[in-house]
Amino acid sequence: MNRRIGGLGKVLHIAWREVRYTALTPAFLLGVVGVPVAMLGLILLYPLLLAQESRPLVGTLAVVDASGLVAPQVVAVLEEDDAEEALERELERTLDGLPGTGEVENAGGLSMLQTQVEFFRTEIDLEILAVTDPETLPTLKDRLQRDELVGIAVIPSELLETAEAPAGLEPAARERYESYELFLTRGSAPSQTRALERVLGRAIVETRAELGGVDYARMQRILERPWARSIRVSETGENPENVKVRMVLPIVLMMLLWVSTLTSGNYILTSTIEEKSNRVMEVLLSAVSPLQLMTGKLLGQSVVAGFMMVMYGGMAILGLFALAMADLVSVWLIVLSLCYFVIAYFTVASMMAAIGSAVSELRDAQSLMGPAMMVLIVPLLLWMPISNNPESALAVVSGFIPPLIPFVMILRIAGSTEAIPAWQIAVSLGLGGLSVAGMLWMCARIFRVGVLMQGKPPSPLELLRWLRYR
Amino acid sequence: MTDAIRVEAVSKRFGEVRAVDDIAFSIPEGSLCGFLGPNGAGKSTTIRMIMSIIYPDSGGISVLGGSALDRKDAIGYLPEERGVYRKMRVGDFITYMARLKGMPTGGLSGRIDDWLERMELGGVRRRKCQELSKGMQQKVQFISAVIHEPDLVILDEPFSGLDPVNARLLGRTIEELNRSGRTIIFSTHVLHQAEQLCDRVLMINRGRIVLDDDLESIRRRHDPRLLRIRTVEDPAEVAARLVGLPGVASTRTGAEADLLEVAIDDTVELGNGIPTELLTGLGRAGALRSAEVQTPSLDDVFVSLVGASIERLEEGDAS
Repeated sequence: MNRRIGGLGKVLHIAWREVRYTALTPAFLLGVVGVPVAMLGLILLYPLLLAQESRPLVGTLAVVDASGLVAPQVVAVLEEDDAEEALERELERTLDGLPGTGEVENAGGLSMLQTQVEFFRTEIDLEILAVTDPETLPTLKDRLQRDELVGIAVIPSELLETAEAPAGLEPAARERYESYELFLTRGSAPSQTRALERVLGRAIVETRAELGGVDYARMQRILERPWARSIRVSETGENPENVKVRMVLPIVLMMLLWVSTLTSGNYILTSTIEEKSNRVMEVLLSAVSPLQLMTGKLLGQSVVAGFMMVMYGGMAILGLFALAMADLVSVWLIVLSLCYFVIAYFTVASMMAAIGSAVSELRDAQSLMGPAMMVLIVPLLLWMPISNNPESALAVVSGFIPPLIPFVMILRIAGSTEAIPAWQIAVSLGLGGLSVAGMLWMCARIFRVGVLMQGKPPSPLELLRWLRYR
Repeated sequence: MTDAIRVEAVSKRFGEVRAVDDIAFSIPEGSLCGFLGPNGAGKSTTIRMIMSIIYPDSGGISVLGGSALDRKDAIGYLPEERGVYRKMRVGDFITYMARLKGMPTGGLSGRIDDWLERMELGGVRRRKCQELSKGMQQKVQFISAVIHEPDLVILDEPFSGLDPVNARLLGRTIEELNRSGRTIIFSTHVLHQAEQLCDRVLMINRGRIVLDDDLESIRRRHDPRLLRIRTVEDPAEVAARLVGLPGVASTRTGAEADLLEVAIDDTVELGNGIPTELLTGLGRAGALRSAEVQTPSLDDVFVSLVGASIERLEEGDAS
């Protein structure tokens, strides 16, 4: 069908131009899409890169120890190789208590992390050369230089003492109680050094335990610090508590909202200023009304902001799926996030459009940006107190203050272990909707006057005066 | 003939400044009207009100029988402060503006090519606007103002910034548009352009209409009834011999060495040139090289009206 387009068609046409010249430009695709995608790729590739960098530790390690006790312990430690087990235990503990933990091992989340852990570990295949005569050290160093050895550990006898160092010792003498020398080849990699240090340290501690008549495994068990499986008890039942997730998830969601609204708001600001400084504004106003122009711009940039929200949010959700933590984000949370996104976007973007319309140059906009920045900065300040107590009076009240509603409510809903009362969500959405309508009306009035103004930027008071202009 | 534009008792203030002061005029359909006035006279404010970009404090404006807001698609507008999206391609920019003016996509591409050729811009369609010279950008803006075949075309200072060749091209195009039935109103302070193109003139000064008529009537009304005579003899001597000659009201010399200006009284009809009796009388007074009736230029009218208007306002201020 080929007919003249009407008012709505013009608005959509303006919106499409905003999308086309914001989101479908090389700068946007590189900055907003390319960089995060590249970062994600790097994060995924990082373990692989590390694995490639990590060289296996293969060869002979000389252990110079007059007692002759340490070398057998090194062999025992290497054979035991329980570092991986300890790491696994730590991982299980971290993942335990999160929703869906019971399925972690089966769901593949743990196996992915295990794979990464293996990447981080250095493959060790050592022969231990036990040396009790310290006089042979120069000969051993010659062999080290010829790469016949991977390292020489010189263990002072004082290091194996189970008693504390006597008081008043010279620093050099005290050092023999606290450290040992580890000679390495010139080409030794840091990962190989760390692996040697780990094995030798463990062997020395176990030797000391043996000399002191202590059962090392038992002592380790005694010193093992327990961790709490926190469970919140309420009328609705018992829910596992995970403080870390409760603190992190809200800020992740709020930052998602924050970044997408600020970025697209910035695009509206700059594109409006560009239209004014290019003097194309009056040409546009001969074809459409200021309200149609502003609506088209807001709609177009909402698509850009929505795209960023979906892209970043989608990446985060994919990440949670990979870690088998998808249960953290419910459908209800996603739906509410989208509702609050709409409120946040139109609040910030309409303000930016009004500011952009009032000035002729970007630097002039700085003086008027205060109110818009307040709306964006206050939620950041409220993050900690609200995350600590999403049901506090501060959280409830600030969740009803219009410009803060979307950011505060996202913090509350994502951070609270108890469901936020439905009436509070309904009231916040209602107030948010009303505030958006009011903000659009005010900003449209300012926009209508501002777009034709040139020269000196207005003061905030003058902007308020523009509201009354015919 | 119906009016394309009707402005009734319109006033507009910006703070303490009265930009437009109780103006009223109408532009008949099919006219090619020049909207003249010195800088700051209120031309652009009036045009913006006609376009419903800004609104009058009082009075009413009717455009094509309704509000300009409802008839935007039937109006082509080239504002004084014009611009383009610098990063957009020429073809995309014109398409965008045409679509905003309600144009359907069918046939639009061909029409853009035609217009680009017509304005001697063939081959720039795929170039970015920022790559064009200022004059070329101005022609692109003109195309975007008329691409949708509007009934009414309003051009605010369309010739400013154009070289003489392009100004002539634009002038021809404006005339062609007018001949094809479009009503055209353009503002300018370059009066000879208005004189060449317009059939009607509207003059504004200090927010008030000081002249509103067709060009012939204006010339008639502001005819100075003056003869410019080049004499062989001393003009002063010839002037002395003309005293008492029927039809001669007064004489003036001194503007140029051989020039004698002769004011003619109301008893002589100058519509068809200098009457034979008068010419004979002049010849008897002295040998003449040439004699011609001085026709009033728009410049003269403008200066006299604007000057008078300023004097009146200054008298008003003083009293």
